[in-house]
Amino acid sequence: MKNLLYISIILLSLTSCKAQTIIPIFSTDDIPENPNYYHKDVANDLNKFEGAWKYEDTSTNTEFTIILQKKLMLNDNDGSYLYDLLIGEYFYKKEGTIMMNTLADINNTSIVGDYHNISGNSILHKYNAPRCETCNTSERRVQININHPTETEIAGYLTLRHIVDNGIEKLEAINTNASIMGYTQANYNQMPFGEFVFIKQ
Amino acid sequence: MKHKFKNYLKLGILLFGISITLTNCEKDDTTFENNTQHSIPSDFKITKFNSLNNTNNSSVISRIQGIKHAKLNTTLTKEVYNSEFDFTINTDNIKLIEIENHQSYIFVIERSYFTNKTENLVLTKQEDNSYKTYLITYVFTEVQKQQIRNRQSILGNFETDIQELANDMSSDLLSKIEYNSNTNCWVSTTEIHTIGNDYWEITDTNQCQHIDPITGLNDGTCDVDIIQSVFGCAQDISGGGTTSDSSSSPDGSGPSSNTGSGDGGGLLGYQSNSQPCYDKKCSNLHITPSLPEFEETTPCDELKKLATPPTILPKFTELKNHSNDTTPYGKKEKGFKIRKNPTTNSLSAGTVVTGSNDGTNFGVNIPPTPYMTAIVHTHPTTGSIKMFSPQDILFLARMANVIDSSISTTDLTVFLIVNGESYAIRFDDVPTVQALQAIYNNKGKRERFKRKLRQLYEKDNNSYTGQTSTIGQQKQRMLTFLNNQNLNISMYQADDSNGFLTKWEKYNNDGTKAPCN
Repeated sequence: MKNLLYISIILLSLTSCKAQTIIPIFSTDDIPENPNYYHKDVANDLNKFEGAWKYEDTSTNTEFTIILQKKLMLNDNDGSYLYDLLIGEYFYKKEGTIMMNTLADINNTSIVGDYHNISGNSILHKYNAPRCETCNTSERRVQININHPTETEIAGYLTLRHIVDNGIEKLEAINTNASIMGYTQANYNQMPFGEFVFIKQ
Repeated sequence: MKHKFKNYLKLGILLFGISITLTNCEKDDTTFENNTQHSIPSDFKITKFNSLNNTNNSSVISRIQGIKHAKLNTTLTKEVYNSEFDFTINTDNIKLIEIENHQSYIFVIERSYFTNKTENLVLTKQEDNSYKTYLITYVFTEVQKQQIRNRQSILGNFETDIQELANDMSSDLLSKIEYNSNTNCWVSTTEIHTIGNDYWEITDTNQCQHIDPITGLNDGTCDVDIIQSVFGCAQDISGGGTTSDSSSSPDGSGPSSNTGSGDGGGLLGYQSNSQPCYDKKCSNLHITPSLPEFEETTPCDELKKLATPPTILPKFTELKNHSNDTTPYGKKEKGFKIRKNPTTNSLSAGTVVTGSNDGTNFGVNIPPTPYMTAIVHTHPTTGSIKMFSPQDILFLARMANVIDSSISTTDLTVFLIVNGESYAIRFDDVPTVQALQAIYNNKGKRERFKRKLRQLYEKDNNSYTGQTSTIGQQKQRMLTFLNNQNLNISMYQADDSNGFLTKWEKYNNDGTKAPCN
């Protein structure tokens, strides 16, 4: 009798639970704001972008370094869906002047998900903007947002393509304006907009 | 020992089962309901008429038409013009308010000059079936006007002045009812003239003088009695009730009726039965603010007003021409702001600015200011985002964050001109303003908002053929996205077939559109 009771409890526990709906991050479907949905990196597309990456132009004394980490099952505790996300921080030196250095925040546990200065999980194919003429049709890029740390309306769409060049892992990157109007031009000028090739550190 | 171990095992299984039950199960849904009920009187009815004759009330018709010195305006045949008071009574938009056995007809008064006042002529039925005439004046803020448009209770104070007009509409004011803020009561001051209408001066409530029309001097007589009484106290203003529309049938053969119910009654000012009422007259006056701009202005009318002033329209034309430019120069955005003068309500356009196009930035950067009511900008036809970008939508919230309180947040507009076509987005209601502000002001939500809409726009780019998404596809994506986000932000498109920006159509969620002006 007791055994029956225990088995019933266990079965009840398992059957009363609702399955989670997984939506791959390479799908661009509109995801309901519901914690039963999980925008998941099912193909591990984000993994190859993890790590520290550095662009350097010694002729202009310019350096742009990003550190990216993949985070799983994030949510904002606001009833939204769960999602996997690349988060990151960056260092930018332009012509010898350090414009930005937020790298220390990568390990700041009080900063979560999209509150980091770099975040995103949009998977792009060859013909998504910005187009990648040299990409093959099955290749997947990633697009993430990069924000100004103090004026967060200033932002860029940082599009990354992972390549291996003579055994060296690189990221071909283009950072285009994604700011909300009304930004301060001086702060905007501190941002690393343009095209870069990062080398994995 | 074996028995003890068995018991521990059973207990372990039980605890495991309970823990699974507690940790793995779906959260209970929590529903938050917005209570939008107003504290409204439920027993009133508003009927609308679009002509004097449709009221079928000979007393009202003769009362309006028989106003002394009045003449029918020959150019505006549906209006009655009173030269002495220098106002026009609009008879296109008449409201009949009925509460219990009381009736009031509300007419819109229009002035030939700018005024920030809302003025109505009110005919109120008396117990002997005669009508008293009142001139009601309100001074509302823009926010309060929007609350009226939205059928919401008016928040904050507003000025009200009520004058009872003489039956013959002579220049003498027979009675004036003033609100005393100290006692929260209306005080009726009634003048009873025992000599015919002449030039009277009331120096205060105890003294008066009669000016001899020939000599122009005070002849020493005082043929006026002044009676003061408390008219009523503690006005209650709220919205709601039942509305009926009565208007001419399309063929003009007679009135037709369309009755509805719910929150369509609008604002109603009345003397609550629960409030002190020292004079029975107080229950006879039922008023609701009525102005063409309140009753007839649609968002499409507002878009036309914003776009077509002579100083603004040429700038729209410049942007329209630019949006058709397929050269590299056309990739640069152009834009300008529209500002509303808080004193005169007149609109003016800022300088047209051009984006930089440095390879990574094509956009214009126009900062929001407290009196900026709209922004106009282009998107290049060849760009990846042809419709409103997530940043454009969020800019509505950014404007709402800084706008002066004299400008209603639901009047804020973002115009977009792409491929020669003009579009606009506006908030439908105040809760949506707040909802978008909540997204804008929270970085996490804002980033997710931007990411999701951009992904949807990219969805229609074909990964094999390279065909990019069209304006039509992006339009539908945006409408669906806003709907899924429960954001009541409407999109409009100009129908330029009969004039640039004079007619606008509103999009439905399914992508169809309907004229709204």
